[in-house]
Amino acid sequence: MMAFAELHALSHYSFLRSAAAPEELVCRAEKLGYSAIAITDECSVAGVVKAYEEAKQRDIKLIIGSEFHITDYGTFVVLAPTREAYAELSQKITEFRGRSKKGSYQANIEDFFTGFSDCFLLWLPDFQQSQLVAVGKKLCHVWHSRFWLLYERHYQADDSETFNAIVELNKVLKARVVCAGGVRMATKQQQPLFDTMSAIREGHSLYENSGVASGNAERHLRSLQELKQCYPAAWLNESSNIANHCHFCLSELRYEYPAELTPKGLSATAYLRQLTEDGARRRYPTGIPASVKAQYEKELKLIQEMQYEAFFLTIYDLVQFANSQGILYQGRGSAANSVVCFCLGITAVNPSQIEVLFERFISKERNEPPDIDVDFEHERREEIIQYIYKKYTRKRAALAATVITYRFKSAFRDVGKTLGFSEQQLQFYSQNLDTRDKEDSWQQQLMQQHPNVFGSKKGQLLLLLVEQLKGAPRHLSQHVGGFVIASDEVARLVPVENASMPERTVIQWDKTDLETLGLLKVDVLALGMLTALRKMLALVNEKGTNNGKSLTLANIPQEDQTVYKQLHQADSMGIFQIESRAQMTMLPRLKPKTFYDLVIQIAIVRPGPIQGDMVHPYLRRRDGLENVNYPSEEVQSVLKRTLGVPIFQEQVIKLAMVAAGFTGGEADQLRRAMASWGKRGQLTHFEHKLIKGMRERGYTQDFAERLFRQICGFGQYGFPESHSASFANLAYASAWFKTHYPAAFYVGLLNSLPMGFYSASQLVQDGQRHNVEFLPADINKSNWDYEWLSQEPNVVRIGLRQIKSLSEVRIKESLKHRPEAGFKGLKDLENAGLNKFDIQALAKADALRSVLGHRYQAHWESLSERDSQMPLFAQVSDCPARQLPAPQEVEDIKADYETQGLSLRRHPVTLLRAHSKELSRCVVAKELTDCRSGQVLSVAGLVTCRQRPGTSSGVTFFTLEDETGNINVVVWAHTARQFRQAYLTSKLLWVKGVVEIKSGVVHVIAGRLKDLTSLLTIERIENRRFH
Amino acid sequence: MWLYCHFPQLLLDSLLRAQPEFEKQAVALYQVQNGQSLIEQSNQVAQQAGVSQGIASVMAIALCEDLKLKEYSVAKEERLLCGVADHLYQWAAKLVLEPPQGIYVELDSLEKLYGGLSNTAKTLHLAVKQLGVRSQLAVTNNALAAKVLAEADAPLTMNDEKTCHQLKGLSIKSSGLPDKVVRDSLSAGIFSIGDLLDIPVSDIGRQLGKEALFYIQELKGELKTQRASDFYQPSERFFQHVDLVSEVSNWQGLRFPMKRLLNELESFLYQRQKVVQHIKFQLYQRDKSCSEVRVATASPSWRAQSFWSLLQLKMEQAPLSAPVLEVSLQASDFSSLSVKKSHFFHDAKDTQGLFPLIGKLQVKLGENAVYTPAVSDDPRPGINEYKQPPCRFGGFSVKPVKRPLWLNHPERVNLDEWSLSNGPERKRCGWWDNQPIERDYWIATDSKHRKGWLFYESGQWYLQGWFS
Repeated sequence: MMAFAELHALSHYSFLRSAAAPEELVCRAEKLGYSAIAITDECSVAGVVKAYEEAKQRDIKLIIGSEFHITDYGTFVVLAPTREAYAELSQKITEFRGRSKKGSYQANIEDFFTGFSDCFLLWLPDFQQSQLVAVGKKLCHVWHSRFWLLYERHYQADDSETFNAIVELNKVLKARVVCAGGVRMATKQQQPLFDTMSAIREGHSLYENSGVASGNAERHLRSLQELKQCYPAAWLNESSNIANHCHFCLSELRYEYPAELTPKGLSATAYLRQLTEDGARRRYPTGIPASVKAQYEKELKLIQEMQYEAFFLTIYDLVQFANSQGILYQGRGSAANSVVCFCLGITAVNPSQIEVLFERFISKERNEPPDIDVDFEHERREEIIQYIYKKYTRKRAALAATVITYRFKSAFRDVGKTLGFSEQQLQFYSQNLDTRDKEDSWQQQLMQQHPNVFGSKKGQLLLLLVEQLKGAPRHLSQHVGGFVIASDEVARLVPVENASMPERTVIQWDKTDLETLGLLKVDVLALGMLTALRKMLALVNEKGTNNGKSLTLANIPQEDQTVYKQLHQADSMGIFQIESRAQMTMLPRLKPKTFYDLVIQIAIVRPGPIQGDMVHPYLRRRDGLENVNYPSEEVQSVLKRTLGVPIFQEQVIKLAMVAAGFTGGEADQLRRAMASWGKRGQLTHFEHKLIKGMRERGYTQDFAERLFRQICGFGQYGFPESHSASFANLAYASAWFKTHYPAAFYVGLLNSLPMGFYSASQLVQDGQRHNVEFLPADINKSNWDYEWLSQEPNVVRIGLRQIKSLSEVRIKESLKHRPEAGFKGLKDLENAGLNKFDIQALAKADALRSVLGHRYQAHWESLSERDSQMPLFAQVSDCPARQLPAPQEVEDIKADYETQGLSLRRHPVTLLRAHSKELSRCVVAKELTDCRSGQVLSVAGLVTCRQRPGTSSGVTFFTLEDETGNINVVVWAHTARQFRQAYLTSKLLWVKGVVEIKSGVVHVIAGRLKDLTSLLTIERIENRRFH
Repeated sequence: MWLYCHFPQLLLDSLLRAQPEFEKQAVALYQVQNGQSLIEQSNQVAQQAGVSQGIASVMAIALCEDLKLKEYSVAKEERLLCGVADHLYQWAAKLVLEPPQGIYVELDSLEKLYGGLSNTAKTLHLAVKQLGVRSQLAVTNNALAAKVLAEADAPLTMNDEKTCHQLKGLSIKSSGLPDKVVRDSLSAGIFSIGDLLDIPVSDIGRQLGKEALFYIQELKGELKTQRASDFYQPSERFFQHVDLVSEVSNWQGLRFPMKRLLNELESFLYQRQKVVQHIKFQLYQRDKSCSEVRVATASPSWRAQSFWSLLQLKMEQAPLSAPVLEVSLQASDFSSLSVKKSHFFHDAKDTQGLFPLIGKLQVKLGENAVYTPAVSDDPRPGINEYKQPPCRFGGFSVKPVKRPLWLNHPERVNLDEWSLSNGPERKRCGWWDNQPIERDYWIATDSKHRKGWLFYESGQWYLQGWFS
């Protein structure tokens, strides 16, 4: 029987040049009886790991390669038969990519005359080239027995000419000839998708320029019979011959950890043990509990067995650096299940705070390296990144890629354009779609909404092709903070290319690929709250207010009931993880009283538990309105802490272990299968095992099936307890500051923006409600940052950072030259290094009041300092400036918002109330709690939040801000439709509706909406209205 | 004295004039700026739904589901402005265009003709009204002031004091000053033009720069501009373009806009005392390149009706091949009205050349019967070889292909009579429209040694064409 290996196949990781996923190619090639297949994406190996994973499960050899195009010379397919050849190929791809900007490469013919000592080369010549023979001879000479002429036939008009040309050329070169498919599709049926991708790439519609479409579907994986009819037998056999000489497998890419991680004389295992034991003694100064010791011994044993020491040591090294620089950090995610991580200081979740489950983090069955994510202060993360580059050099460290794929919106737009739909039409069709609708798919919604369009052939094609294109890669981007670190050059492991950010390089594999191959990836992430907390700590320590003791995150007093009581009032604006509208609605109902309550609070207010109907049962049981029954003590031990309601992923794993006898690793596999059951269909196997296990332990069939169904429904949305606990630490810390040191709290947050949920204006107003006085920004009194001036009373000076368009560098420099008595005039400001843009920005923000007077005057005077000053006026620039009238209050407020995004003057709504009957009759926010549920009233305020969660069944939640606080408004879909304009565009919204008060949470259910935005455009409160 | 005419929605109004059935629907024009699609003009129905200038198109659609959106084009509006100027030229010779939406009319030279300033203004006002588009007018002795007042839609007055009062009360945002000057003024508490006029000129120059200075000086009449020498000269060529609010699939829907264009041509020709014999409509169609409809009268004419009747004949000959999105009409090669009429085909020495001959052939034989063969990149034979309007050469870039110059309607053949030499060339494409093909093509020789192009489809062999 004929043996054939496809040696030239592109996957969709060649970005719009192929319709086939790497897995599809491998699977199809095996089905057709090929002996091997080479994935040869263009100057890339981005798709090979996916192909490798597929090939592992099949009986077909995978060959790694890449193709390169050189204008006038043809296509060069390079294959990697050995590990060394692979390293060579990877380095060459890196070199070619490095010559060009992101997403492109540059290869020259000279590159193929040197530098490849192990790879194989298949050359598909461009027969227009006049120097063909000379080039061929040179290639033969350089590559020798590793060189072949490549022939591909796709049933074109010029097939016979091409065939004859190859034969003629070979008579001269006397090289071997091999044939290949030049594959772009796994099957013929992918032709429409392939043509669509070609049209997208070329930017044409298929109707405007049908030439972009392929003339036929021959670039698919053909059957052996078809290949026999297409090519000479000798050339077919040669493909097999080449494949037989290719032995390299990606599994050879073992991770070799950097040597500098361990001190001389110590193995990685010994060093890790030493650090763990030292850390445990630090964490437990009064004595290490036996359970903790037992746990870390168990972990260290598994770590040694799996050879994962380097992962922990690398992260340990990074956090030590962070510690040395005073950079706050915290490990999160499943790593918080590890006692070793806690002892090393990587995570902050004390094993006594939650039920740790190491199997959620690492297990033999999982057979994946640990994924340890660490958050660093967002303002200082770059220091960590530079430390990595410095320590390991740019040759040994690079960012992981993120594959940007087609999502619904981009697929709909691009496919639509190739089918001749206009941009406006496509926007119109897609704007009313709810892609989160579980009942009607987006295709069904389109058919219902526009039957004429989507019932036509073109419409049907659009529906089909969008679905096919979704998920296909569009381009590579850099991962947020995932680094690969190697003992040798990264480019010998995987190609590295330029990222969009300057001085950043990115590898061609993403996180999943790295996990598959067991390569070390370190996630260096950024968290704004860590920055804010460090600043709060610094402020409190500066003031020496903590009884003289230095305050750290670790020694913040725990379980302070004053803190929790504040949270019961939903007073959580600015507090990490529990400041959203949904969280504020839940806090008065859940009323957290302990750290663990906070852990649950953070996990439970998510789409998953809401949709899974876990929230209400939990609340009822907490309020004692419902009894809790457990079928066994084992189940009780798992679910007791959440009152019988499974909330955490760890509980699912534990249930499978205690109720059905799963090992920890098996249970984690079950959890992962549930999370992706739609794709893999492995649940059947687990269902059988689970039910069987439970029956053996005495549970009824009915109970077992119910539990399995519950687990299935839960598995997709469950949240890791360890992750929630990590976050709860920070939530508690920020809440503690808000309760005890509100000025430090707000200053820390405001100096760390942008971050969090709320704007500076909202935070300042919240601060004022907490008796913090804010003083305005002034060039003679402010610094760049907000400052806490005094504690009793709490007074904060707004920083100059709040003013838009200011240069931080120049302002900070100028403040160094601020005279003791302050700046006195324009010249002083210029002499201090400020340019006219800075001065005008300060003037408009009223920050030059102490120098030049009110903002109009200050701005007017600053205008004379212009680069384009007319010569005549330059001579008279020293004349005293005209005195302008001061702004009215409304003008000041408007200008404050325009220049700083906030105002310390009266709230705009207060001002407008005096001039609007409608506003004057509205109930203000703070009075709503005095109303009764069911009362009809009107409210109004600035729209600060408009949210339509996917779980909300068409309901939109508005937050309106008035001078006394915030108002929660609920707008049902029919009200939104009826008052569409006000619903969509209002900046100042009036609402008439019904009050609803439940568990102390107040909402106004809107009945009527009215847009009062026009009131905000008043520039002067006078009789005449200007444009 | 100057009259300024501002046409705030010239393009949209013209569009709706061509298809008045859309007046009662929400229609708006959008423009893409910095990657964002924003509303530029909207009709009253759209404005009532909240679709106003400056909002995002996506928001506009969300506010008004039935909104019809077309793209705004400065170039198209400027062309329309030339058309407006051509119309006004009948009444006033000294026009200065302020593209894309304004025209200055110098009035002093017209006072004698129309009997005083007031009559002049009234006459021009009526002339503008005839256009059927929204307009805002102002009359003052200062051209800039007239422009500012007209653009701000101030009530029309000839009273200097009222004019001055209106001007001073206008917001600085309506002044037409550069954005930076407006922003700086507002930041200094200068809200109106009056506020600006109150400031000494030296202060304005020093603080706000020369643009503001020149502006104020012009407004005060202290600065003369070049405007007086930029008078409009009517074009020697007629070109008008109409965007259709909604695509039109049949000739019936095109009658109104095409008739309107002919009327404008008539007006154009009449003003110039010219006639023309050949005109060309271009129909910009969805999914296709634009097609042409040429109309040639037996003898030169200026009357719309002459061309209209011929055009109607053409409409009856064949239906539209694809929906039409835009229509234009162009004409040149005019002759003076006094040229003797010549009869169609009566003059044996008709040496007007290829172009008029083609026009005559098309009218007599039908437009589809006269074409220039061409080849496109479409991989399908038959569609690949298409007929383009005669005398239109060039177009698509074509890769060299091996195929006959002339293709037949496929005819069945018996393969026994042929000897296959080259192939197969496999064609499997056209899945995107209603013309898919699945064929294998071969070059073959028959018993008479003629080379033909055969294909095999659904179990049968066909002859597609002959090689020369």
